[in-house]
Amino acid sequence: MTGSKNTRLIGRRPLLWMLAGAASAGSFSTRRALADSWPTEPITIVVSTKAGGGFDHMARNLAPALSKELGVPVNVLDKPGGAMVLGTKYFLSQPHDGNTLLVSGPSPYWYTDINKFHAGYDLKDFDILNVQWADKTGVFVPKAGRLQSFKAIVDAIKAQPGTVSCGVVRDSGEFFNAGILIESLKLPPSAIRLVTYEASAPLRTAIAGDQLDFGMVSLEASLGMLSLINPVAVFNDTRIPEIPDTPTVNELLKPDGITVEFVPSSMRALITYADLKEKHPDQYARLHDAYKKVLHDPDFIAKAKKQGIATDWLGAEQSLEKIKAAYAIFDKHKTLLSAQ
Amino acid sequence: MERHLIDWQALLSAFHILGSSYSAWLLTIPGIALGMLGGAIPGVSSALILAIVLPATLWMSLLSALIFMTAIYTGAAFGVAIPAILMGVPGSPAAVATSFDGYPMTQRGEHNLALGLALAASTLGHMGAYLILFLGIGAISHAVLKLGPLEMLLLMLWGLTLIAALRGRYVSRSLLSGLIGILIATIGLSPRDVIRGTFNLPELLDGVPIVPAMIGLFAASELFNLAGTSYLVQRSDLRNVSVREIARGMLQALHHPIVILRGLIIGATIGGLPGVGAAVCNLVSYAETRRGDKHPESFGKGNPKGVIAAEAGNASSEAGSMATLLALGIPGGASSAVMLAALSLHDVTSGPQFLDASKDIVYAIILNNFVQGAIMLVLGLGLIGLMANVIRIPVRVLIPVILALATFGSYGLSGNMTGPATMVVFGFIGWFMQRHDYSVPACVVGLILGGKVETTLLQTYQISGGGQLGYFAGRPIAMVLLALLLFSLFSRPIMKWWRARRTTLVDAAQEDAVKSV
Repeated sequence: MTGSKNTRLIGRRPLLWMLAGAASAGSFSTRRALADSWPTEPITIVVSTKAGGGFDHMARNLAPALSKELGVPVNVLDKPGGAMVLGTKYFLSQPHDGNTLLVSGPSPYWYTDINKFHAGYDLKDFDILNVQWADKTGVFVPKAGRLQSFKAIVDAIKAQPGTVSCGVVRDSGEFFNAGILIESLKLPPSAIRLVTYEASAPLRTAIAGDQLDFGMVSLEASLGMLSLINPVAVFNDTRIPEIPDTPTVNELLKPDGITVEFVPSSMRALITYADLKEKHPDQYARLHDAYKKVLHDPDFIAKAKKQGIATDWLGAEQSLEKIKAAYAIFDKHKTLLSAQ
Repeated sequence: MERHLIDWQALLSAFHILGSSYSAWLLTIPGIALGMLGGAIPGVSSALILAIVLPATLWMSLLSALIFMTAIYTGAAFGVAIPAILMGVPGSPAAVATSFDGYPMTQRGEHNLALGLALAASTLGHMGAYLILFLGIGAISHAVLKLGPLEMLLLMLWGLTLIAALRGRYVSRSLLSGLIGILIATIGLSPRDVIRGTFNLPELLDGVPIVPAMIGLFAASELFNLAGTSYLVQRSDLRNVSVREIARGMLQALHHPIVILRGLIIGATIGGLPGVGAAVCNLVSYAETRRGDKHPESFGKGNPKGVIAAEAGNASSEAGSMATLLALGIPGGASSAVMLAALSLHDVTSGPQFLDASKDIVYAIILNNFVQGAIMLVLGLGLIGLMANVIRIPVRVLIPVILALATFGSYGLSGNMTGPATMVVFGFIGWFMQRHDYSVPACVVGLILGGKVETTLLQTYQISGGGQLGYFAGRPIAMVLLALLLFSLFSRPIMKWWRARRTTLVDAAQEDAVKSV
């Protein structure tokens, strides 16, 4: 598949040279032709988490489609560790030429990296091509759990503070949302037993096994486990079509006159370097267009949907706005970062 | 989830699928061979091989892909034992305990026997655990769900008690080595988000890469030790490769059914716990066999039971992790995470629905794995017949070759120079420790388990509301585990003390009696 594309590309280059000559527009056309031939080398998507998670999932799903569009192989390289710092730093250390891309979590993980671990990078070092997958926070209880509704959870926390256990992935959007929820209920952080997990898979296992009273975990990736866990609330502005009977958290808190200003769960984005657009505008445009085309291809969308992978297209500007809006909420709850 | 033992309809359908699909069978043999060869190279993990073949599985049917991948998994589970036994350098953390007794056996010239023991124990462990899986995939996956952080913590502590057993000449130095291992495991970002001991090196944020460190420690401590000698086996008359001896080892493994059974129960149940995996099964199975034995002091010096226990433990963990992967959609470790990715490449979401809807495929995988056991026996016999020839290679050739392979392996693991650099640094540490009688295996056990102990300890503290006793009282499985742990730790010294006391009392009574007469 990629091979045939490659041969076609090589065939196209002499043609472009001829065209350039015919137009005799001097050096401008020649440079233009060279840029048009990009990419000529395989492209690598660096993923800043372990294989098997949502980020890796998204990258591996994207790679063959991008490869088809760009005509070169697209490989996925997992560089996990240090709460996404290692993979992100590795990406920044590569030549800024468009041959390396990054799939990472600008929100909430980078927020913690920047503000707590002083990772040494900032949003302005990147060009967020698109936040393709902004998951939502779901509140789940074990099928056999003692608390079977959001109200039961809140009542239990209020009646006996410090007895209800809640699992979250550390530094995740859910970790913040749990803190925000407790704050909005005017309770101290010690009102719940917050149990921190390294990743969402062991957390879902713990909810399914009735180890926790409830867990807050990224929603879409949890839908495959609905025979073991019950959703009782979603942190979203509207209900989710897959679980239409599960109310939103603000619907549930309305009788108490409370509105929670929550943050999105993991944002999974395809990212390039901030200076690519300026240094190699044609490369940037080609990459951008290829990615945009993939995300608008109905076949790709259908296939991704089957795997539970979102294919949202916000574009660079809106994506950055979305991230900055989330950062503004994080800033209000910055104390949560040191509360663990 | 359906709880009845066997779904006959699905089983029949599984036979049908396997009988009509030759491609799945064609992939079984190369899969096992690939796994075994890869596993035999220190530093090449089954997860790495699986990740490399992952793109190829796109062109296979779902069943073929899963069978190919489990075949690699199966082969690698045994492959890692070969360097552990022959050179004292385990290919992965899953074979650490295998080297404890396997390598001393090699040094005695019993390498054929040890390899035979390992092969038979691996095969039986593998098949036995899949039999358990066949009978109760639902039950196993539910048993796994019942284990919370406290139970996991106790299991890890159980493995950690091995440190005390792995002593050299001085108990205190071994305990200190274990502690050093645990301390090294705490480098990097802690479960509480504290950065510790990284000296501001971003490479250390994720901690010391365990496998390169482990290879460095073992390789240096064993290989530098050999530098003065000419061959791995000192006596030239024992320096042979004998299929007869290997076969004798395989038969000898059959004489210890309890050891194998213990290993496969440990593997099949705790092997599937996320983040636990084969390494802990290998260590816990070894630790338990050693403690239950009449002569625990003979372990670590070439006791065949040590090899059997260690191999039965790690080989059976595959079935455990397949149970949680297929029944719950939860990967138990890196290898099963790659398999999960393979499933999603085939548009399959594993989990309870998959188990209900595609039980025939699950059964077909299990049935194929029984056959994989048999194939592994034959292929393994051939491979170890070949590999055992390393004892004929002069040490001055062998050492650079192993170090080069290990360096490539560590590079493959980290994808940059961090792996090889770690290996070299830990090589020096290992050499120093060995020279001064600090137990290297104790340090490795600490290194492997330290991080997991910390994570589960923190979660236990959090989930119990800061260590409130009520939580512990409500966990019957944990209480049983704790009782077993305490019993296995203290029963022997207490019995000894009691016997000694009784003897003195009886003696005293007799003396009194004599006096009164």
